Amino acid sequence: MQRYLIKRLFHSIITLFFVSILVFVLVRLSGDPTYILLSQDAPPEAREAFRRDWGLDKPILYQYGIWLIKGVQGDFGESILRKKPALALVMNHLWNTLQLVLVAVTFAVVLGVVVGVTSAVNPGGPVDWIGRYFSLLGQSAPTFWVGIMLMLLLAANWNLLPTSGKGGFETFLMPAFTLGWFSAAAVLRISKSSMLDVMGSEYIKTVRAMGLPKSLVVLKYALKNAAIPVVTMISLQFIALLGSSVIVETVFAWPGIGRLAVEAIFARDFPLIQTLTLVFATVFIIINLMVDILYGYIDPRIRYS
Amino acid sequence: MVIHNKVKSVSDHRYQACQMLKAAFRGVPLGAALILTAVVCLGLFGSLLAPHPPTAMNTQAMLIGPFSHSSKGFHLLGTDQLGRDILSRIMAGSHVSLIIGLSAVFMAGSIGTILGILAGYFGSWVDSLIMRITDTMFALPVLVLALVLAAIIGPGFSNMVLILGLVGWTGYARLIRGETLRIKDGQFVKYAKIAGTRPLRILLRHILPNVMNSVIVMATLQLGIMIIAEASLTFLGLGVQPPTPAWGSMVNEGRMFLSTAWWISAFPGLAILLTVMSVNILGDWIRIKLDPKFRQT
Amino acid sequence: MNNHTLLKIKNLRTHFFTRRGVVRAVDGVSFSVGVGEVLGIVGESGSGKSITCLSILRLLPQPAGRIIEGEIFLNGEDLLKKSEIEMRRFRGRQIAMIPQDPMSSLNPVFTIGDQMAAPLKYHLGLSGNQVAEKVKSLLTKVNIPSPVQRSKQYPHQMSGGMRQRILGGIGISCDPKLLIADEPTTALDVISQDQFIRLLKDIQVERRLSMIWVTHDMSIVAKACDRVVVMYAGKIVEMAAVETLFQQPAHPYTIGLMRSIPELNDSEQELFSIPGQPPDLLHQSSGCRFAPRCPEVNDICLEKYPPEVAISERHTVHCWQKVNHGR
Repeated sequence: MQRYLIKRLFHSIITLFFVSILVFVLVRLSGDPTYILLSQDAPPEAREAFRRDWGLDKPILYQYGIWLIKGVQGDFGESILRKKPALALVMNHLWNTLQLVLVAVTFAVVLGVVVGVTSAVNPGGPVDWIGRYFSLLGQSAPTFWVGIMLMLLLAANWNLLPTSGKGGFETFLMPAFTLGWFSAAAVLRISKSSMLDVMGSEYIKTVRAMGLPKSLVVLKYALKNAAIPVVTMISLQFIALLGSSVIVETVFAWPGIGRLAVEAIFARDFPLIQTLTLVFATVFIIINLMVDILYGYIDPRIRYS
Repeated sequence: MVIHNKVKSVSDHRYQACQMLKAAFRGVPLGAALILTAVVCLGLFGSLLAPHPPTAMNTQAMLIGPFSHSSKGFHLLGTDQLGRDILSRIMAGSHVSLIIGLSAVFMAGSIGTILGILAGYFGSWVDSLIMRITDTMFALPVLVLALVLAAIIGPGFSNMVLILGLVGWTGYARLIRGETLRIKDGQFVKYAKIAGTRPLRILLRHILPNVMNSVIVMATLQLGIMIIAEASLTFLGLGVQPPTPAWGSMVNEGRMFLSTAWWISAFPGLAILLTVMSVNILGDWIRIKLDPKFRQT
Repeated sequence: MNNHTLLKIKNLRTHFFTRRGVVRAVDGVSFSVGVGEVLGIVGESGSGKSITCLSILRLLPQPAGRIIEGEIFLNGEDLLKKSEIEMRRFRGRQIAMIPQDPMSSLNPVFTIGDQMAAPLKYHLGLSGNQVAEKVKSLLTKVNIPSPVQRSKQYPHQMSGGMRQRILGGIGISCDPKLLIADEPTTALDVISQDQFIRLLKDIQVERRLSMIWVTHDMSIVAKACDRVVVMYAGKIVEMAAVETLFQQPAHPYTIGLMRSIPELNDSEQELFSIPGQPPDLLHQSSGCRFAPRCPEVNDICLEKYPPEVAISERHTVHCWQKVNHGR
């Protein structure tokens, strides 16, 4: 197990290295920040000075080398747009996003697993029917539109919830639902199909034939078997939600890294974009590592050696 | 399950053949098929069928609600902040969603399938390289990557296809690599190799046809996602640019007038919802037909 | 030996309601099993033998499978009149089943000990040390070496033969009166097969257990069973004591089955297989179901299902040939 983890950690560092190269090159292809951050009719000397200030006049390999050496020391440069250290800026916003994503994932998992398992145990029942429409809609409705419609109904028309911004728990409700609906649908579908598979399996037939009550069969035996694909789906959704936070945060004016990313991309804020994507990738790698450890705990057939 | 299979195995083959044709079209979800047919027709002839020119402004009739009249005629779904007819714009916008969605799926599918087959068939460093790229792309949220790409190559119709194609292929590559590994060890590929068949011919004649089912299954899953992704990028302002009517940008424009003119945002979004829902329903149906794992008695 | 009847099935009909029509998987089956008796049910895939067993436990695949009519008496109690909750008292406790495929019939994510303990806790109310002791003695009983260590292991760490013996151990753990073995050796290699048959037979004799042994292998019938029921397309075609059946098979299908057993001392003889397709359970004629494949078919065979004919006291057959002989 330990050796496996070390191997995984090594792979993760390589992946991060590749991500950093990819992003560094892509970002530098994306255009000249001087045309966005300086006024249109700025003199060429001003542009030159700007490039020199931000080290953009050097060859790209040199720029990357400098950035990498500083990055390893924890210095990811300063945001051109906000004039603050990029890492600190991202970290400040990251926590806001993580809070939102965690609430959304919790909502998606609780609802998805409960409804999915219930549907699988009682196929064709009322829960199954409601669940089917809920998941069909959730997988078909565009996130940004759901957010806007909720805002229209719950905030603008009925005045039940605050329109936007981050505050107390009530400010989480609309963004978290908007963000989590798609994932709830995905988790619901996978829990249902996985549970159906397990309930139809021979080993469940064995315990049923031994007369154990259905509730015990479901809660003690089947759930653990069905958990593996569900855990995978949850980790995938976590990543997907970090991505969709870009949209939800734009709609609800949520002060997270999603909105920061849109802002940075529009402004060609190179250091900020680089830091953001690296942080995204790191979060992704940490989640995957956690999932792998969880697999080993759930399924004894997976023992890392 | 064991019992089902037994019951199935004893049925008469001739009867099965008779039922094949009937079964091929049985269970087509009618509602979904109708909606999708309508969307496809609109995508092809939308601008011709539209009651008003989709980009024609009318300062006399700005922000008028559904079921109302202006000097230009009847507006079933109202008009937007520039007096343009919402229904006509939705009809014209279906073109964008459909063509970009389909082309992006086609492009992502092609890239992913080719790379997946190459990785699976040739192994060694080809495999390592392609899988490392796939892993790297997996480590970034699709939308963020698409945003960065959109910033690089700029917004617009064909660029959207390129962006979505470039970020969407990794799933295919992983799936098809696995399939290829499995097929590569099959008897018929071994015999073809012994017979001295050239690799390219093996890839095209033996491996490609055998992975097509998986590609199609994956594509049906992806089409809805691509349509939503295009709308999302357009919503953020990085996709198809105004004045071309697109559903995503229409929703975005309506945000400013949400409390006074809800219909500007509501109806284009509803159009996306209905389209994607039909795609998903029909996709499920195709998947059950093609994927032996989902097949039942 | 057979002074008391344990299980009595009368006119059991189990049908499957599928989208393509009604599959009459079990269509009017009657037989009984005495205390301490081993009844073999023989037939090819789709003959309804497994479904008959699942009907006894009332564990048919839902929602398609339904018992249309019939009675199943265990010690005089009609199982078909029991509620689902009452049935739990029978499953595992009174009637246990050894499944077909040992590789997929044990839960991969729980230890052997855990899986063996569950019915002991639920049916016998054992706890703590008692459970551990009982698991150990059961594993010893089914010839698993170092039982304490093994009980802490997972199924994937064991061979198929071992897993099947463990499933046997789970089956007998609550002292059932009736043990149903549904082709328990088909998934095993020849040596494990032989070991398992002998083990099961020993336990059966020792405990005077009643058994239903489902198989399509006539050599297993010869080794393990007292009496045999031959099924074809959801119906019983012949029923007799093992010796009688081997000496004077009466139904053309049974005769075909006998000729398909390979004989070790006669390597010259060609192996016989019954010509024709297995029956289509969706589309049944009113006649004898074996008629399309029968070498001695007559006009009447295609029209009417043959009645039961008693050849001797405990040997019955459904065949028009024998009806005419009787006249």
